[in-house]
Formats: sequence, C-alpha cells, structure tokens
Amino acid sequence: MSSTHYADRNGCALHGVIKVLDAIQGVVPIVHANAGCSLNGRFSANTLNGAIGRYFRSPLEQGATTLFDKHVVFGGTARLREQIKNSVKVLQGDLYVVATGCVPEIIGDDLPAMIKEAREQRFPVLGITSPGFKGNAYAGYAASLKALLVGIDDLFPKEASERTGKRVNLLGLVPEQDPFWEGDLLELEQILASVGLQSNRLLGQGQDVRSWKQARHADLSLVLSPWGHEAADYLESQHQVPILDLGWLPVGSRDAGQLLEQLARRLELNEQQLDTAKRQLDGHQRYYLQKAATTWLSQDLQKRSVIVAPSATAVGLARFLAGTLGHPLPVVVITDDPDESRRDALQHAIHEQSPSSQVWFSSSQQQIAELLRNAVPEFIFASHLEQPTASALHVPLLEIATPVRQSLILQRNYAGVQGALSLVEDFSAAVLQANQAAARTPIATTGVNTQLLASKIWQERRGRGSSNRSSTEPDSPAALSPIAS
Amino acid sequence: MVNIRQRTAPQREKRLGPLSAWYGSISSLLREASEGELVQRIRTFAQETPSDLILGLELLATLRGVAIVVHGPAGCAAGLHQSQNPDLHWAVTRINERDSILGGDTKLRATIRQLYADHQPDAILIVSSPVVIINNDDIDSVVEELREELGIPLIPVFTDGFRSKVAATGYDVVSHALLKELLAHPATTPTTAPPSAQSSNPHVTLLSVQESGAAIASLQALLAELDIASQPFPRYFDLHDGERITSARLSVTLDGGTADYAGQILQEQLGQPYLNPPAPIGIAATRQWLTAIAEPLGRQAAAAALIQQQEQQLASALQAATQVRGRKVFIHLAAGPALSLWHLAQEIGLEVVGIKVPFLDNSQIPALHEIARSQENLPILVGHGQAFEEIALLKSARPDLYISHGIDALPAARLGIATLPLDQLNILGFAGVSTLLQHIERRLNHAHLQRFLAEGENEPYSHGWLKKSAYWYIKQEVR
Repeated sequence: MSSTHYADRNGCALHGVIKVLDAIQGVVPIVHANAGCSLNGRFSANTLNGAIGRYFRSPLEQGATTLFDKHVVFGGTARLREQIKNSVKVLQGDLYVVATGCVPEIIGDDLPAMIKEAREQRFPVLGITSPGFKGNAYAGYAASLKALLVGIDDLFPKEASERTGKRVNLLGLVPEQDPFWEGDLLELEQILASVGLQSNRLLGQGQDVRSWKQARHADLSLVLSPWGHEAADYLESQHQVPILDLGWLPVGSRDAGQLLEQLARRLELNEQQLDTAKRQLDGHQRYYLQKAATTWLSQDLQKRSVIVAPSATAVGLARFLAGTLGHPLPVVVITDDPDESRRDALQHAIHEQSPSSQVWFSSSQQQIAELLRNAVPEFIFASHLEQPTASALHVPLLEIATPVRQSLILQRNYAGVQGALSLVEDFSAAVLQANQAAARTPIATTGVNTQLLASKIWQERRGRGSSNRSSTEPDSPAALSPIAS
Repeated sequence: MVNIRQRTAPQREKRLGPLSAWYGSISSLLREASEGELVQRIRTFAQETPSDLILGLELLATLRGVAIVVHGPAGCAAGLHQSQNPDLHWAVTRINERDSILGGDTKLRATIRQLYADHQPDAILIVSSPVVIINNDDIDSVVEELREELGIPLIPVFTDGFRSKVAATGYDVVSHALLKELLAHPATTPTTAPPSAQSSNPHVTLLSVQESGAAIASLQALLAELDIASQPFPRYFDLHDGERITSARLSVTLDGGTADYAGQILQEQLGQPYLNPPAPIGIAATRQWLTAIAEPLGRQAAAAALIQQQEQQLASALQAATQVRGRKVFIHLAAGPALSLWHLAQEIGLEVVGIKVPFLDNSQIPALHEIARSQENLPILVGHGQAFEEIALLKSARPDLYISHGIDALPAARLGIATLPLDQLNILGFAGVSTLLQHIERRLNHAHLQRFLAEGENEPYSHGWLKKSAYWYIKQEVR
C-alpha cells in the first residue's frame, strides 16, 4: 500500500486548535497566519455543522492577522502586536488566545515576546504555537488543551475551587473532528450525574474560562481518547488530579455501566446509588431494544459491518455493535493516527467484544477503500469519504465520522444509552431506506439486473478520466455539455 | 498588461489597483478616484478572509477529468472537501516539519505518480501552498521530469496564500496556469473534434470563476436560442475543450469583470475579442449582455426579438410585485453582480440602502458613476469578510432584506434582518429576474428564524466598538 493520502480527513494542528478555541465561551481566538488558514479549518470537518458558528461567530468573523507578503518578508510580529491590541477593543472576551500557523513559524515570529508584551499591559492573552505541519487536528487538540491549562495556571494562579460535590474533567473528544462531540459530552454528563458526579465538559455550550480554571480542582480526569492524555498528565503532575484512562467512548448500557463502576471504585461512591444507576441504564436500553426487536428480526437488521472512524468512536461503536447487537465486524479502521504506544490498548478494547475483528490504523482513503472491498460488508459506518466505495459495493453507509456531508449535527450523539439508541435508529433508517430503494427498482418487472446496471454506471463514472469519455455520461450536467451540435 | 510567459499571474494590486478596505458614500469614493488612482488600504484589526489558495482550489475543483495535488501541509487542502464534483480525485503531500526544512519534492513526486497510476487523469494540477513557496520548493523541475515520464500535462498552479490582499488573484493564477498550458502545449492537450466540424454556429467562451452550473446553463440556453454555442472557462473547464477555447469567436464575462484575466490573455495572445458587459442580472443588464455578444456575431435582429419577447413576459410579473416595492435592501456580493443588482432593484422598486463588495477596482468606476447619478449618498463598504465593520452600518441602515451568499449572511440574520442567500438560486438572465422576485417576497415575509436569533444577547462585538465608525481600523499604508 502506498503512503499517498487522498482527500486528507484529519486536517492540521492549527485546525484542531481553532476548533477547541471556538468551543469555549468567552475565548477569543486570534489566528496569526496568512489569510485562509482559519477558513480552511472550517472546511476540513463537517461543513454543515459549525457553518453557523458557535458563540455567534460565523466562519469569516474569526479575528486573524491575515499576513501578506510584506509580513512574510519583514516579519509579522508588529502586525500581531497591533491585532492583539485591537482585538481586545473590538471583540468581547475573557481570554484572548493567539494560535499561530505555519508561516510565522517559518519566518521566525517571536510569539512569546508578543504575549509577554500584551500581558504587561494587563491583557488576558495566551499563545499556542500550532503550525499545521506539526501534526493533524487531533494533535492540535491535544496540544491546545495542555497549552490552555498551562496558560490559565499562569494567568490565574490563585483561582479558588468552586467545588461542592465530586467533579470529573472530560477529556479527549475533539470538536468537529468527532462530529458528535457536543452531544456525546452532554450525554456523559447525564450518566455521571446519575451517580452524583459533576462533569467539567470544558467544551461546548455553557463552558467558559471558569470551567478551565476549575479543571485543576477536579477529583478525576476521565480520558476518552488518545488525545486527552497530554492534558490529563499535566493536571496529574501539576495538580494531583488522578486519571481514569478509558481511552474510548462508552456506547450502550454495558460500557456506560462499566464506566460507572470504575468511577465508583476510584471516587468511593455510594454502592447502592451505583447499582440503581446501572439498573436504570440497562432497563432503559432493554425496553427500547425490545421495542425495536420485531422490526430488527423481520427486516434482518443484523449486518456484517465495518467501522471507519477516529479512536474514540471506532472503539466505542465496535464494542456496542458487536457486544450488544451482535453485528459481525470483520474490519475496524482507526483513522486519527494515534501514537504507536496507544494502539495496543485500542485494539484490545475492540477484541474484548469482537475477537475476530481485524483492526487497522489508516487515514488514507484508498487504503481504506481496499480494506472495505476485501471485507465484503453489508453495512458501513464511516465518513463521507467512504461513500464512493459504499456505492460501488451497493452497501448502505451511515456517516459517523468526519467529514460528514449528509446531515446537520447539532447535539445528536452516540454515547451512553441515549446515544446507542440514536445509533440504532440512524442505522435502521439507513438500512430501511436502502431496502425501499431496492424494492422500487424495476428488477421484478423488467428482469434487468439493476445492481449490475448501477455498477456499470458507476464504473463509467470512475472511468471519466480515460480518453474515451463522451459528454452524454449520466452524471455530466447538461449545462456543461457543448450546445454546438 | 499581462504576460503569459511569466511563471504566474501578477497580483491584482499591480494589474487593476483594487481596493480591499474602504468605507464611505459612493460620491466620496468617486471623488477619490477622480483625484488619481484608488489607494489600497490596510486594516489594523482584521477578521479572517479567503486567500488566493482557497478561491483557486474552489475553482479548480470544478474542472473535468483532472486530478489535484496540493503541495503543502495537510490543512491547506481542506477546502477541497467542499467540492460537489464526484469525479474529483485529490491528494495533499502532507509535508511535515522535516519536509518544511529539507524540502518536500520526494513526496510530491510520489504523490503525482500514485495519482496517475490509480486514476489516469487527463492532467494533474499541482497547487502550491504558503510553506512550499516560502521555502522555494522546486516544483518546476518535478513537473518537467514527470511530465515526460507520465505523458500527460502536469500543470503547476502557483498560489501562495499571502502575495495579494485580493483573494480573486487566485482566479487569475488558475486562469494563467490553464492558458499557459493550452497555448504552450496545444499538441499534448487531449482534444475532441474541433467545433467547426460539428456545427457552423459561432461559439463563444463564457468567462466564469464563481457562477453555479445551473446559472451558466441558463445563459447557455439563452445564447442557444440565438444559435450561439458556448462553453465556460475556467470554471467547469474540460481539458478536451481546449481547442474550443482557443478557437472561440470571442470571450465574455458573466460577472462584470472578476473573471477578466483569461479574456485579457485570449485577446492579447490570439486576438479574440474580449467583452466585459455588466453582469447579466436584471432586465437592462441582461439586455446589454446579450446585445454585446450578438452584435459582433451578426445576431442583432434575433437578439432584439428574443429580448423583446422575454421582457414582455416579465412585465406583468414586475407589475404584480407591489408587495416588495419600497422595501429596503442591502446588497453584499462581488462588485459586478452587486452593481447590476442595484439596477434590478430600481426595476423592481426596491430601495438599496447599502452595498458591500469584497473588493473594487478602477474598472468599476464608470458603473459606480452611473449609480451615483441617482443615489450619491449610497454607502459602500469594501471588505472580504470583515463583518465587524458591517454591523454598525446594518444597524443604522436598517434594511428589510439582506442579499448575499449564505456564508456572509449570519451577521445580518443575528440582527433579525430577513436574508436572501443566493447559493442555491440562479439569478442570471431573464429567468433570474422572476426567481429573484419570488424569493424576495418569500424571504421578506418569512424572517422568523432571523427574528428568533435576534432576541437575546448574541453579539461577539464590544459595545465600545459598535459605537465607532466602520472606518476606524482602515488605514493608509505607510510606505
């Protein structure tokens, strides 16, 4: 397999940083880069979700230095100084965070000096060095979490704890790169609340600079993907906040219950409350899966499935689909390029519920296409980039990973029991729609094998690049064919 | 003037002297223009704005039969996820920190070879990013070497993300790259049969950089009624149509000038007449546009008959549109379409209370004079993005309706103003007039979501800023 990457799905470090900053109320990002870098970050993930902009900023309302040729030649620090000073005047905020792209890094702009200067004028400003060539958006998320925690310690060292009960930091779900991040965090908050725990989601609606100041006073950091470690490690080493390393998203009552057990053990929770909460999760899920059962069995919704997703989603979905629904999962592909040292644990977590699954680590569209073809699936849980392969295989696909193009995701989620039931609903809808479409095809009446026909059309489409193309192909818009003849 | 032998297109600043930051009345703008050239400004506070790379990629993604390699860090290519072209194959070299120091040409070579092996495109476009331009990666020698090996056109597109303050320079860079290939290597460009063999009708090139396929099709249909064949360029260009472009009778813009660059080159290099009539939005502008094309092709009589028939059909629709008469609109579009839309607003009976354009250059001065004759105090705001400047203007102008692309409409929607996003609509030609009429009426009467958004605290801007002039952070550059 080659190392060429078609249609890169993971973006760059700067994109990850911007997505984090966008998700905190009162934080004003100042992008220090050439024009276009922050806009590109909006395009890299789900272009529908977030197009309206959280905290009332549309994609083009991000403050940015938009460096031009003069700055590239003579340096961009003066421009940054000016932008910081004026950002404080134009944009309301509690914390201003400079995120730098590739260009300032290459031309050697002195970010720390500019931050120091702004702080001397009592502006609450932090800097994050995040050139795109230093990693993907997940790595940018990890780096920005740590940089924010370090910076906030520095800016607000004496912030007292506002804690009343036991509190848990939720780390590892990456805004937009994990399309369901916001709903997943809310769902986890509900689950933790069922045993009397408060959550510090840190990102999403209602999460502000205060939430970040409180992170160091938490009783535990719950790590939900390989990308939450850096922040958790910092909080542990600097502020003695212990870590519970789950490493993936709990989907369904079994994993949600297991999570509660682990939390109870670590935080010495009330046994009876734990039992009640677990029973409720289980009872809720059983009630609704029984409600689904007639359709499930009559439509035969047990499908040989493959999953293509970043770590947290891939492992969480695999464990629920195989362990609770009994889907055979020949292949699971993990797409966020986690560090080698984290891969065994992810693989192990999948194999606990689905021992025969092959687990692959790849973000390459064409490698993944090959893995999907070889797996001969009946259903694909993946991103929009796998849609062409799904169509070629005549298999329905549910978009559960970035980029998502077929739905607008607000707070829909797949975590916990509510999320698991949403997953069942979305999956069933995709299968039932595909079944209906198949039933509408003229197979029965004309005897034409439409699957073969569709496959032929698809091959013609793929063959567009070859020299014997004609302008009457099925997908060539009439608009663009010459009118001359 | 432009020189096709150059590596890439010049900055728009050098070619057209555009403004990308300005605010004031149309008459004060014209006063400045009459005193000499418009002087480019800078902003000391700025919001995100697209780059030549973003607009260049958006345009390239509409091409047929080609593959794209973006040579840069992974994030630079992300805009291509927006593409609706199901046949587009694209890759990014994903250069890392090491490559950014030592050069990424090995990765570039491997990526081009792999794309060719997997998909055999008609051509591969190699698009450069800020990092490889600053580091001076030798794209030309990779292209030269592999062009011979693979036997297909490899076309370097030298976008850089920082050279120009006007993102539309990206359109010029793409046009330059494609025409350089067409003019320098006609023999290796794959061609379909020359159009003369298929038909005796004249064919023309529709210069387009941002119109939708449906909008172009509607104009093609209009021209077809005059027995004029047409093909778009560079948008939706198919490399097989190269000869149609070079042998066209003339080229004409659809947007009043943003797509001018290719027309200038075709005129200079091949002597093809280049026309830049007003963007065909509204009755008068469409009439002017059609007439401008029909005249040199000897189709005046047919055009006049077609125009008369279409105008008669529209007359009753315009008369019936009493509901919208007198309502206030704010227009936020590229200069060509925005100025044509101002005239359409007069035809409908709407009052234009402000115009915002991403940039403006000397070529639009005559059209601005025409507007100033009847509305000399019309506020003009120049900026790509930069909504912070627009908010105060919207608050004082209080338009009933905001006409723009969807991505630009949120600030207005937050203020509770009815918005008409044009992304999914075709507003060009005579058909566009009735489409606009219907939608203006509908949006004016159904701004419920906007009103809901406007209730409650929702502005990211400080109170201090909202009291200041929109001009506050626009400065003349100290040289």
